[in-house]
Amino acid sequence: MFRNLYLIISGAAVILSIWMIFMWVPTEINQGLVQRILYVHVPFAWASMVAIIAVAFASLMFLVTKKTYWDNLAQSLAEVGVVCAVVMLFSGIVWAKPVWGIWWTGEAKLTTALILFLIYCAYLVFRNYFPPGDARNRIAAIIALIGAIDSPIIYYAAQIWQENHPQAVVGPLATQESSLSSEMVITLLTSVLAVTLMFIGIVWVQYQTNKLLGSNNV
Amino acid sequence: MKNWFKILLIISGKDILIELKSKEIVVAITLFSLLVVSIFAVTSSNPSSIPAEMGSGIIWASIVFSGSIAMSKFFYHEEKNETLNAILLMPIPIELIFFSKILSLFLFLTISECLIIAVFSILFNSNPLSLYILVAIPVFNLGFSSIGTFFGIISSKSRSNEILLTLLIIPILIPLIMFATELTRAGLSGTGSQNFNLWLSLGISFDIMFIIVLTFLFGKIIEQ
Repeated sequence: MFRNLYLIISGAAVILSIWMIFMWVPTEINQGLVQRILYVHVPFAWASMVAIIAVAFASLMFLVTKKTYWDNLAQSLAEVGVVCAVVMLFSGIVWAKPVWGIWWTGEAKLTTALILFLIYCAYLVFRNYFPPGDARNRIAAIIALIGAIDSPIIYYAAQIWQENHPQAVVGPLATQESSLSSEMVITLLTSVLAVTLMFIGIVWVQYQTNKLLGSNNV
Repeated sequence: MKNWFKILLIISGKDILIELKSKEIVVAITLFSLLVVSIFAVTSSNPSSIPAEMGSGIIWASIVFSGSIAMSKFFYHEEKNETLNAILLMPIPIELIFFSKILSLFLFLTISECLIIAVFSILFNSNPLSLYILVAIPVFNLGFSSIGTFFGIISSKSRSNEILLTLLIIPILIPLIMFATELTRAGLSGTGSQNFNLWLSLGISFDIMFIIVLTFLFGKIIEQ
């Protein structure tokens, strides 16, 4: 009952946000149509960042309590979080080219997002390469925690790096500040809500799958 | 305290003695790095005029990749010959084993880096040796050895340990790689680094933080 209700609500939220992005929200004056990528990029960036924090928390809980469901949850969050990070990075790159004039820049947030994505890819690769069992789960939890500890240092390093190497932002709109209208804010918030609901739903499905696979020692 | 230091030197001495006989780690790091540096020198139309940023990138990229491959070899032998288990049976604090491995790897990396820098200066006709790189090398090596030791022991128990170790340590080492690259660039360009103090504090805090955290976690992974 709850599952069907959740499916209907999240499905409706996704359809509503798609309709708002393509039909309802006005086109931004400075950036044009490409600005609509924001409504995909921001929600997925939010979901991937939430996933990273949640993986670290679930891993810590697993190390403290030794309950397998925390480990399953951490794995599920990492798997869905990595997919969200791919969407975030890809949509960001596609947006940056027409707006900034370049695909990529050494901006602190970008560098941190990329490195965190690589750390969690390594976390998932480790889980696949290492023989299954309690040792693997505990070491994976330690890797997730080290990744979380490393993230503020990466951000700080990227910030100093940026100070030394000014950004090569050469696009025609690089210096123009743009603010969001109320319709844009509503669309963005609806997209964030839709992606969050979708994210929780997929994590839940993935968690159930990992639980079944775990009980079979895969 | 004095005995602990003696034990530390004995365990490191064992690794150094094995290395002196096999010459596997230093030769692997040096040759692999030289290969990378040579590829850049050969593919560059005028190696003498490459920008300082690129030069520092070449030096550290070659050190990081070759270092991670050599580290996996180092722990693979420990795992294969079950020597790590033998050391673990010794009635000494487990942290001492961790520190001894850091010390051995620190030494191997430093020797290799000296050789790489010498060859880089010949092939690219530039002098990377400066106060900046002399500061960067020990700080980088300390962080690299501690993270490498920790993940080296973890990955030695898995299949495809070389790939796994490289995948695990490089993203975590990124702040330290940035630190070393920036300081080397400052030395190569001759202009200096405007944020030298910030970089140095970042490098040292990275080392201290990871040594403390990994020393604490080392016992937990060894239990497995």
